[in-house]
Amino acid sequence: MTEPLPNVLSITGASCQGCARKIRSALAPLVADPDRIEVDLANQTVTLPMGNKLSEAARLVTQAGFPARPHTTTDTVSAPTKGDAAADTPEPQQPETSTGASAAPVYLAITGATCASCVRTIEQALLSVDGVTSAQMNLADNTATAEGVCDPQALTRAIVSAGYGASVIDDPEATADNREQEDRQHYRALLTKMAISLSTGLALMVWGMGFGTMMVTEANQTIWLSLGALTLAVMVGTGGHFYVGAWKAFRHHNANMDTLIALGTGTAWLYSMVVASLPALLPEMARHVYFEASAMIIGLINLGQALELRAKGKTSEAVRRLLDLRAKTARVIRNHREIDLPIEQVQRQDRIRVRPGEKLPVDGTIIEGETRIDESMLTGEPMPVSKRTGDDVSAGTLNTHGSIIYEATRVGSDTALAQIIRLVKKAQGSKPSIGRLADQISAVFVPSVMLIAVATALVWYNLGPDPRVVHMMVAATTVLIIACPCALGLATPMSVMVGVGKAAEYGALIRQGEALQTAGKLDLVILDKTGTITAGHPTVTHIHARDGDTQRLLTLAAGLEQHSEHPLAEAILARAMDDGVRPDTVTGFAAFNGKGVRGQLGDQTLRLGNRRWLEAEGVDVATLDAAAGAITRAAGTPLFLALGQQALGVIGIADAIKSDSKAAIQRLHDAGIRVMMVTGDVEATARAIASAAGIDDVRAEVLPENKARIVEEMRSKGHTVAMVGDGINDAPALAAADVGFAIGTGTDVAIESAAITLIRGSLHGVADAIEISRATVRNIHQNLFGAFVYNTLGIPIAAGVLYPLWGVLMSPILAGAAMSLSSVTVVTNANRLRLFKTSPSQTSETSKGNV
Amino acid sequence: MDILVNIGGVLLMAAIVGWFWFSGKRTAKPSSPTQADHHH
Repeated sequence: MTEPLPNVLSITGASCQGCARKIRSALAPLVADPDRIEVDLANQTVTLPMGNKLSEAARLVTQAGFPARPHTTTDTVSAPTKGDAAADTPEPQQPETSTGASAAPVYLAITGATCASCVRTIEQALLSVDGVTSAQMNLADNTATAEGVCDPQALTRAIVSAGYGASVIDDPEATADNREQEDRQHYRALLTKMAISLSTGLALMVWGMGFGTMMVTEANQTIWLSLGALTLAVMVGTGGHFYVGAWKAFRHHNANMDTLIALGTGTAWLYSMVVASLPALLPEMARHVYFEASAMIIGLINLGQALELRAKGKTSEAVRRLLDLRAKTARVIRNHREIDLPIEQVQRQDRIRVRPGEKLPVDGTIIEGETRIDESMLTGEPMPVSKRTGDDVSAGTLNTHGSIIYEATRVGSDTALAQIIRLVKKAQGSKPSIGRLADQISAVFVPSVMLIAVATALVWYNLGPDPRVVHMMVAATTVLIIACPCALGLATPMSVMVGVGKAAEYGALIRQGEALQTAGKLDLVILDKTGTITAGHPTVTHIHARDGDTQRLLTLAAGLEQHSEHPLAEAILARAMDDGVRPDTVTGFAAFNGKGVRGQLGDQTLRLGNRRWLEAEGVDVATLDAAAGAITRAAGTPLFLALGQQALGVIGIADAIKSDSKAAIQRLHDAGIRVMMVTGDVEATARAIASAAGIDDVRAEVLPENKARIVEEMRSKGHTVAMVGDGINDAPALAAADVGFAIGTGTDVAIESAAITLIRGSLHGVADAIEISRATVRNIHQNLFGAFVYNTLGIPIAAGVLYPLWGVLMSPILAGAAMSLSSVTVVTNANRLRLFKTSPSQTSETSKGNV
Repeated sequence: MDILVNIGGVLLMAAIVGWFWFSGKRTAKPSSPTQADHHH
């Protein structure tokens, strides 16, 4: 079943022609003529000329950044549609090698990471493990993802040896619950520590100012020594984690936020202890103690971290909301009895009853009953959707109307909801390239700040006024405290988490943080026609009765067509059902291929068909010319109905434009984006659709395989191009575009070729995703700008550049407060995105959100 | 005394540069291409 195919590799992560080129050049040592290597982006396979060593090729491609393994016959079945494959295998197994190494991404929960430097250290530690091709650490939710063929235990060992804690996340959903509980405990602990250290610092300050002095004299020396010991106890008790973190980082030749806090508070305390124990060493003016500064800085940073933790909890609200959609139990019918079972025990093919007002526990197909189901939580579609026997339903949606029985088709981690949760969490952890800049800077940031602090100290010592030692110590401490890069580390991931979550609320599933960034820059959207702009199946668009009685016309047409299985017949019957029309009783049905259908109504012959056939049968349809012309101009097919020799009317059937396509395209125009349509249809039909939908540019009679070429052509003209299609036929074009949008059908969420999957089959999803992307990128820019400005202004001020002008030297306590405030500001700004609303769907006048 | 402080400061800076730039972490392998490095 799973035999390797002799010359095919299965790859992941290849999304464009650039990737294909990289793969070909990576294989150059093995294959003399790179043109003979076929890279199939749609199926994520690489086919080599026969006679090559497949394992060696897999190694080379993996090294090039695309995890690869020999393709197996199972892959051939499962590769194109991941969702279907999942349905066939209730317990998806990770592909494993003989060493227990995993080719699937490994998710790790990280502890002890506090700032951008930690992110860099952890990513580097993961990348140093053999087989890891890419690694990402998300400071916003303290998780890391490693991709490649690697042993999960080796990953945790690498992180532990870099000075942090790590554990493999087996069940992301259970981990989210645990983490929430841990966060609550951590929050309370931080508040307690904050209260102890701040009150100690404040008491010392009040005592120093109110009852005496912060200067050490012979009379108060013993008291200050005891207070120094007390301060040390408070520092260790409430800020011990900073010192431990700093020591671990130092041992690994790294420096992070903990290093700066430990050095800053440590310097202040050590100086004060020297003053208190050996005052004679220093000039009289310099015998000032700074115990209160050490305690208060730790208190303020604990407060900042507590506030940050609180705000971080809110950013993961979107995932929390999705997790809460899961039902706990299901009412399963077994042996003619209804029993309530925990959701974990529900199996495929179980029959489940759902009453009005209840949540659906698993995915399935209705086998009894009719209802309306509220799918807004998954698709963003506000109106409940009518469902009847044979329709698919999804876990997490709400049954609003009737009682139904349905058969489970996907359970547990295979449901659409579980897939959505996995996808959203993965995207929230990924980082767009603008975030990389912050990581690169932070790698050298902390050691640089330490150098600046020493240089500042030397300048004050050599050039500063008396007491020089005090000024030197205060300036160096303040520089160390104010320069913490925690805001820099949080700037990007916080906004990405909120932005990806927000998009999911609107039914747009973003696969990668990078797509979020690119979607914000789009200036051309290419739309596939069938199923994207139009409904994808024929519907009745016009009904014209000569005597004006359209109901009667539909009754007769449906009476005839109920005997037919033609797609046009289905359209007429669907319209009759929607309008509540009962088909007339027609006997003696006969179908004439390519012409029409005929039956008997009483003693008269009823015919429904094309013009040529009816005229050949002796019916005069000239009176219906005007109506038929209008149907043809709107890209529809006219069907004439005649009773006996008398023409009764004409019905227009077309693959109609979805009701909201025009408004959505208008929203894209309002956002300054050009819209182009590519279709295999003939020019006239394409133009009719384009002009009705308000599309700028049309490419008609395009073969499916040429769509990708058009995307490439527009990209080469300098456009940033989105391709919107169905994800299967359009897969190469989706992969070739800067951003591929797959229009899903509600349950098909794992469309690999697209960067963004729209669960709701509406083009509004494209406009929503673009607006959210723009808002998110704007938010990231604000955060990064804020963090950079804070550090570039804060460090010189802390070092004392204002002293020569105004005689002002910043206090280390103020630096501690400013530092806490900077990260809280970044997190709060990212949370502002949660309030973002996309422009109204139905009007052309947009009023964008204020983010 | 002043000279000692200045020499101490410069040595401290040299130690920081040596410890954080030229030892230990230089052994970490350079990052491999990731999705984020792509042009889209």
